Amino acid sequence: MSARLGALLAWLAFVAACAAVAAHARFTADMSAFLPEAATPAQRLLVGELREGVASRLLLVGIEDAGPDKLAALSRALAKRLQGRAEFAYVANGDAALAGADRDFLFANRYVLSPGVAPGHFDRGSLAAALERGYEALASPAGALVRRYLPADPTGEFLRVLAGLEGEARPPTYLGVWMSRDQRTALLLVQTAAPGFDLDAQQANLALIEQAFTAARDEVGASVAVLQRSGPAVFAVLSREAIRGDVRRLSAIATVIVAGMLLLAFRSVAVLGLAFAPVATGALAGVAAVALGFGYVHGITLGFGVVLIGEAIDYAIYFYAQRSGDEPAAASFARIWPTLRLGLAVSVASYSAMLFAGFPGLAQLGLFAVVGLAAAAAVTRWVLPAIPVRSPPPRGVAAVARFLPQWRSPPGVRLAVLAAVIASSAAVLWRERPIWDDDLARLNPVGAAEQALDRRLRESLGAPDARWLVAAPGATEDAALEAAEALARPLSALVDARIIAGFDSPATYLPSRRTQAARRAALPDETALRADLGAVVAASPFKPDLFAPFVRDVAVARAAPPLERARLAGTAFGLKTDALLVRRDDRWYALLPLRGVADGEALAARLAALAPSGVELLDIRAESTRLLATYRARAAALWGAGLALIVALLAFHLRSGLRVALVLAPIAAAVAATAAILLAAGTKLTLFHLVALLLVVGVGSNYALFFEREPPDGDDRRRIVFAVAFCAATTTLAFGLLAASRVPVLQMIGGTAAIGAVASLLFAALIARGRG
Amino acid sequence: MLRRMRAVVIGVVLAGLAASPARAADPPLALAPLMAALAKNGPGTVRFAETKTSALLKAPAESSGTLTYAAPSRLEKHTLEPRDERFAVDGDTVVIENPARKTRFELRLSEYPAIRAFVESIRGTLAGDLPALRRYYRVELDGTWSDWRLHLLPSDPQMAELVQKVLIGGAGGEVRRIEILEASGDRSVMTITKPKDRG
Repeated sequence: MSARLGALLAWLAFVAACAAVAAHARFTADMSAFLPEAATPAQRLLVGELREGVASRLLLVGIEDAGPDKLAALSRALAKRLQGRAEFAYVANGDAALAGADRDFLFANRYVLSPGVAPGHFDRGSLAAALERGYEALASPAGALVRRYLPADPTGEFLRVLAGLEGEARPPTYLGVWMSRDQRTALLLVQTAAPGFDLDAQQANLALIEQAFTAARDEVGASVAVLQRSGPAVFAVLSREAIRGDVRRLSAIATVIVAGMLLLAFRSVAVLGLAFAPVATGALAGVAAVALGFGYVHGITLGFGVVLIGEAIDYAIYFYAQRSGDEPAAASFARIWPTLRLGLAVSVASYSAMLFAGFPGLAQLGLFAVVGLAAAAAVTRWVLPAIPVRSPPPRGVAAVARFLPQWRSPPGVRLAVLAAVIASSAAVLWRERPIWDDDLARLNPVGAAEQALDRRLRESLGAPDARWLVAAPGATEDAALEAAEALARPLSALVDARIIAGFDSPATYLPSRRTQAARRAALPDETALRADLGAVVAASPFKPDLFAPFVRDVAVARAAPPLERARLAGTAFGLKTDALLVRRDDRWYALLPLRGVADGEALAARLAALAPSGVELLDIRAESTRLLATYRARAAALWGAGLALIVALLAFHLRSGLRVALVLAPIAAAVAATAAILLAAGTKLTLFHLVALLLVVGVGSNYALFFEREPPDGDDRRRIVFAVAFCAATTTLAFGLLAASRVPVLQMIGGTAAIGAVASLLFAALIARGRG
Repeated sequence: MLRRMRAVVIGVVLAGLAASPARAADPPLALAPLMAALAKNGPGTVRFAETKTSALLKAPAESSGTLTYAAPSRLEKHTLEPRDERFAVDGDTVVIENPARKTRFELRLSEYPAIRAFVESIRGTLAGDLPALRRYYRVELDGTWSDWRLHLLPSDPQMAELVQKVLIGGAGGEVRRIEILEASGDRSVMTITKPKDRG
């Protein structure tokens, strides 16, 4: 009695302590915890961009379902409400007032930005030719535009700078704001101050935009117009919501169903309540362990962790299902504890693989599962027996025993089944090669509709899909810019050779100090310019003194301090420079996105020959695929190590090669068959399938162990068979429900685990069933 | 000079024809029937003579050439005098070619409000496409069937910043004159005549 009381008190104290730790735990939603560690500089650059690059901060906004005039008014009203807020670094909707800031920047700095500024560019002959061109342009349909800039910029440096930006697609405008070609979508671009992975901040940003839009709609009186948003942060927030929602909804349904099954079988509310005690304690212990070990708990760890330790509900079922009548708890436990303990050890071995996965997300998940399962097992072992529960023997035992009859397959049949499964699985694995899917996009947790919206907005906005990048490194920001300038010639050669259609460079908006100095040195002094210009204008159709602003601006440019990066803030070029001139690990990189790459191999070969050393060509798609493959290979290796640990554990405990084989064979067959079924159904395997297969090993090992130790006959045997079948049924149901989720990640995990649970039960029954 | 005089004479004769009694049964001048009459113009080429007056220049700049239109979206302004220059629009694409300089530019109409003000006014008028015109301009009409004036006032602020008004004059289903008043006060006047072989 005192021992039972002690166990109960110890449990309550433990729960209280865990609850205290968990209550103070810091929960984060920083998705970068789930980004793998990068091995190469190129991958570091890529991961850095994914984590905090400008692309991750970009929100694409579309307004739809109203006439074009209303859409334009809404776009203006929305932009006005968002501009100037600290949460948004940059808001653009094509509005002239905003584009004006960009234009003013280019115009004010035209003499350091224009590649045309070189010695001889302002001598008499060049000026005369420039004025002739200006005259022709003035009489052309573009006259109104030319007229505005001609007096201050007769040599056309501003237009030359603009022409340098020409290759980039910009959206068309309607009534002064960006609008899709079919005039159904008004378009805005928003850069958030918070990085893309800060999901809480991004969620708040999305809510702000939503509020601003509602207010704008009231102001404009377009009540039916709808807001569309896309971008990496939107995806991340949406998928978090979808995962949360589905996990909540589906696990609630699963809990109801499992509870119903428990009630039906055990006819005891007390058993129902106590059956959840191990898993609940385990979850609490898992949270506390992760909070103590890492200092914070990731939201995803909590979600997936509870799924992973769902196995713990089986522990209570094993206990209650095989208890016979009024037998003391200690006696029941003597029968199942060794098996349960070994099953726990196997699960712990398989989950501990994740502890070493190399990045905090999976390591947290591993720690959560290991500690959670251990705590759940301890509760099952010492606390459940301490609470006296009177329950009739479970219903359905006889039926299950009939369903899984006395039949024990002869060794020959077992071998044949095993061989057939392994052979057919191997055949499928072979035929379906490659079996891995390392396309990052396929792991995208958002649905096809959201991806289609993103593509549509991106196309309308002319945002490039930035697949190819040339990275020019430098010790300082300026050195990286010089490296980018040195690439202009080789890349132009590639454009001429039609290997690429064009390229972008941060040096276009922010030339290196050296280039700026050279351009400034090419500007004539005021006296000389006045003399040359006077002679040229006298012979031209232009009125004298017309070009006084030109003389003044050249003098100002000659004396101006160097153009600094800070001057670009608040313009579209500031946004670009933030994206294309980045610092990673104490090195600066100028990134030059390439457009229209026709032949990647030819590009790589030509660039290697032309570009200076240190310059790297990045194929973002290939690089992210490689990154994921490395990461998956590492997970697979850890998985293998976990498997070896499981074999060692079994060998140590069972001390018989045959028994180890009897336990391992059904697990291996179940894993192989599950993989083969998934592949045959047209699914390529991903990291998430791998995690789900760990779960299959965890539950499958329990089934195999129980069947392998099946008591000779009678009630005990029937109860064990019943317990295993009941556990398999609840696992299949719970995960089968998860497979119905809209979220691909949950689908993968749910489907794999449900198929795996059925396969494990089947093969354990066929192969593992013991000595009879 | 002689050629211009002849163009004027032809213009006057055509105007006379337009004002002939055959037109008396026409409905009163209104946008819808005018647009319907304009829409009857098939594809074709006319000659133009343009005078650009600018505060920047000592004297107005004169030029001439041909204007070709093919429904619904192709428009080409081919300047022959004083220098060869081709300005061709197809949909949203503008190509500017100068054979003497061997230069060729391609740009998107939607990015150049000043050029668009010019293109859409002519394209919309020649097509008789009132909704298209109204997408870019406030449209007003005055005059008579034999001498109407279409006032096109840009509604797009970027366009309005550069172009104050496009004034198109004509008789019946024919466009005779296109005048562009820039916000700066500069103006260009284009008079249009049918080519001799068709006139």
